[in-house]
Amino acid sequence: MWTYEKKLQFPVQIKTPNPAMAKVIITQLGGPDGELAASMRYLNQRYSMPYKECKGILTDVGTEELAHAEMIGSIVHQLTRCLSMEEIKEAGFDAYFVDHTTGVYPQAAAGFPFTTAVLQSKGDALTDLFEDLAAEQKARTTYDNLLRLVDDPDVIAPLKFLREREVVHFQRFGDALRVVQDNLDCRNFYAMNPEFDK
Amino acid sequence: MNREKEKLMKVIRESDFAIQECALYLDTHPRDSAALRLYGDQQALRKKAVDAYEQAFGPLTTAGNQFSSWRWIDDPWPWDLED
Repeated sequence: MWTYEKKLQFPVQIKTPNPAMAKVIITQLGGPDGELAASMRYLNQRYSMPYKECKGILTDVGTEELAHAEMIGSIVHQLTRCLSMEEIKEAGFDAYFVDHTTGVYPQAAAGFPFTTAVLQSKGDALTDLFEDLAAEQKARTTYDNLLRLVDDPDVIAPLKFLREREVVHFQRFGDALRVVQDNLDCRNFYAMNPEFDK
Repeated sequence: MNREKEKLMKVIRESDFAIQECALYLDTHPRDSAALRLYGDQQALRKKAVDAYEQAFGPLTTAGNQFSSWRWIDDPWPWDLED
């Protein structure tokens, strides 16, 4: 089970609203490489994972991703405060506005809603960890792309923090992959699936 | 499951549940002094049980890992079928 702590993992205090920025950053909440997908991916992969080190890392990273989703939600919220109808129209925020006003809704930058179609729980330890490694890199690229678009230091700081976490998670999943391989036949890692063949 | 472990887990689950119920109620009734008192009593009960459980059977959170080794990852995990 889970408990909630009433704080952000890294502070978000954005003085200047910017709905155009919110429109693209929201993709890290509900988009294909976003934090919500990351959390759901890792937390659901845990059940069939046979190795305790990997159960631990999937639980702890999956939990941290929820804290990241909360940071992205906070960024989107603060970027869409006190908007006039002119600002909404100028920023191209009108399409989002008609559907959600300034509520935070998990969707991709291109507008499609959050979907688990972007993630996998394959029931194979090697396959799942390669997916997780790829997911962290895709999220890192997304943060790199966002950082090319953003010039407000209040927004850059939390995005840089989140980008760095993708790199750390990638490294930890690399360690987890080695734990799995150390438990398999080194002459043929694919001789059996340790999550199915007991 | 070990009998002592089961006993402590029962106290933790029951106090957890009471704490959760109080918290939900207090969210919409923040000045109810009876609920506040119950919340505090259950927290104390929970803390005692958690301390005893973690000392004997390993951490319930990473913060509860008070030992020289990282027992946090040890099996069984909550979804594992125990012997």
